[in-house]
Amino acid sequence: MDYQQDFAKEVYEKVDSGAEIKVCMQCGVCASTCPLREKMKYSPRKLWTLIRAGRRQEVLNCPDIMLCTSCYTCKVRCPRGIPVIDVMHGLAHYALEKGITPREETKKFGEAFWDSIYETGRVDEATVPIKYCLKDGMIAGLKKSLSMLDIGMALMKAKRLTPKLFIPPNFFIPGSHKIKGLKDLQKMLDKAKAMGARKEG
Amino acid sequence: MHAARMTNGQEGTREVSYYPGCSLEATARDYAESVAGAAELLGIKLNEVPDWNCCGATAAHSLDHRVTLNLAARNLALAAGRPQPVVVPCALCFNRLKSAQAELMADGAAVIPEIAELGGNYGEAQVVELNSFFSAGWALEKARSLKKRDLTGLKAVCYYGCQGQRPPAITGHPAPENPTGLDRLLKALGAQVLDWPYKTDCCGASHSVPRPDIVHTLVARLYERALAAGANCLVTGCQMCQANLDLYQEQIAQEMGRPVYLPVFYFTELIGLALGHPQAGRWLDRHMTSPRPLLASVGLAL
Repeated sequence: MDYQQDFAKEVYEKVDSGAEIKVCMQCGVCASTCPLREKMKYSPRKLWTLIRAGRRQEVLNCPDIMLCTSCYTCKVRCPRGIPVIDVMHGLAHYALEKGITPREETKKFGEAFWDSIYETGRVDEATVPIKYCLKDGMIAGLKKSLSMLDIGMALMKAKRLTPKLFIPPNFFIPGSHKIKGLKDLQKMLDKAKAMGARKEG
Repeated sequence: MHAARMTNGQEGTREVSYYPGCSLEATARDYAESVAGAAELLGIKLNEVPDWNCCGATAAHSLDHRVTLNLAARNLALAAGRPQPVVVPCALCFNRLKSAQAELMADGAAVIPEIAELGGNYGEAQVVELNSFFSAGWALEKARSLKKRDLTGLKAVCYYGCQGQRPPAITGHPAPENPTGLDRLLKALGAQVLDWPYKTDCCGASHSVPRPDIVHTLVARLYERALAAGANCLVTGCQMCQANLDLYQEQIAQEMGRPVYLPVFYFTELIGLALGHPQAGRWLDRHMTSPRPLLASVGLAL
């Protein structure tokens, strides 16, 4: 078991909103209010305790820090005013910067979403799930996407998805979605990403 | 509260800016069509923000905060100098635009030059969620006066979800734990509105792709409470909620081991239904859980 005595200080200083957890009184409102309580090993309350105890590896590798749906209930209800959701996102970002991926599927889905924005300026709901599945590689990806086939077909029938579902994910169809200011948007996205990386450098 | 510009010549017509968001171009096509239909009925001219981009939603946000801030900044810049307010049908877009706006007003330095060059004032756009715009006093009055039939027989629970209300410091919502806008609108349309405690609970949002088990757990909980309240339908103003509640209903009911039949309406579809929009049936036929049997059973068949 690892104990790094300066981990709490590291969180207070380097994690976005990390210093806010200093005032936690361990009441457990965050734990009882989180809709995903039964899907987590450690509630926010427990994570704060682990941070104070210096359990660095356990916290930064914990998949629960990357499970948040961003429902904001914890932030609204914390009696000490801790922006719990911001600390959770802060911890997830911090782990990613340190080369740790606390939860593989959330990262892959975010990347698939991101790829879609980068290609057209908007998100194409028909290709994001396919892009997401293919992050596992071609064979595993196709297998995974088969589980979504039924709902995909039904949505196409209702004209809520267009058949470009079956077009390779990086193939771009002229006229579909692509915004006019895409070049500038891509420049912006590249810069923002580089700045983010430099900040943590 | 929502001052909208009155256009010349057409009395009672309001012109507003409209930021539809990506879902309304795809899986929420039924929502998009019914928003257009309801706006037309209520005399609202929706002026789409030109060349808008994705807001970043919660998925991109989980990877890089600076990027989502700039995505929203571009939209806010494009919406400045246009008719106000900017109405947003998607709760996630609404939340991202409002959050980014607050942050940009406090610290504009995080904006990348390419976006700053657009020259817009980020504080100018009055970002308003579509359902609160459509449930304001003037809209209710108009809906009542134009109503062709009461939605008698619909026992509805209104489901607001998360991002339209929370956090109130950002959304400015007056009652984040107990919103009542849709309740009032549905009452004005003649439906029976039931009280229930899960109005603002989470549906699991975009976990539907990477972690369907999470969405199934949360949605099952919502079905249980809606049925316990005596509801025969759910009404929402968020396409993410609608999708999670509508798309997997058969499968989730099987997992629950009990029959569930709860059509999930967009409030805009019900405006169309009560005010007699000729396309209302087409919108509803895009649902996975068809509302037609329910409507037929309460004498509202299309």
